[in-house]
Amino acid sequence: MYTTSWDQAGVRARLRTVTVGIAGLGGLGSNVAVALARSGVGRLILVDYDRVEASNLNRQQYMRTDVGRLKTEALAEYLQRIDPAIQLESYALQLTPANIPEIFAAATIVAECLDWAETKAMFVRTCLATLVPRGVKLVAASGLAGWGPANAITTHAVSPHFALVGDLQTEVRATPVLLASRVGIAALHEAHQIIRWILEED
Amino acid sequence: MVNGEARRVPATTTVAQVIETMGVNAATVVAEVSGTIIVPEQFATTTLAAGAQVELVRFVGGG
Repeated sequence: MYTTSWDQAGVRARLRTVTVGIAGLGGLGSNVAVALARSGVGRLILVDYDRVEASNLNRQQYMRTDVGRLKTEALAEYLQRIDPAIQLESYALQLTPANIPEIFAAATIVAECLDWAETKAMFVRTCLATLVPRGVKLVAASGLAGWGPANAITTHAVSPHFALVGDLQTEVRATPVLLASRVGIAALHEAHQIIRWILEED
Repeated sequence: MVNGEARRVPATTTVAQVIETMGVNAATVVAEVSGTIIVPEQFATTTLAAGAQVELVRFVGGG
């Protein structure tokens, strides 16, 4: 189950064929996107309405010179520097229950990488009601703030099509502390679940 | 199942009542009742039939 006859090139070739959707390009989404691009995932759908702020640079994959740019544009440029052959579809808009099914129509796996609890719940609800019944797999994250133990962040298989990453508890309070290390751990749990789904399909 | 834990509730309980016992903002909860996703606007009017399979996932912020 955990071993495969594929070598590194075979794994890359398999990842090449897949389209992954990423909702939110902050501490979670920008790190998920970079990990997937480096791994060789062929096509990403990137969605975020926000622009890069100086306060994002402590954990998100942007540069000081990106401040003020749309995250979709800054991240697309970075991903293309990693892999010029990667295909990117970017949307600088707010996700709603109405537009989620069409924006992610081409994706076989979708990652929830949003910020606010209410928005996360809305996104997951919509995906479970519309995309997952079509065979799409969904990974989401909840509980990654603060400096609690790294090992409290785990990947929970809620169902064969829905995985939830995080400690499920640590909320962002009035003074949120989001660290590159712990947010990054959650992001890479999400990216790794995506890669496992792709490789285990065969 | 609430975040993976099994719970027993009285018959005729609504989804809203179950979420209330969790002491969390209902808008942050994803509720699935016997395979159907319930939106927050329906939490108060969705009654749990005997044997209903309820899956609740509560989200906390940060990303």
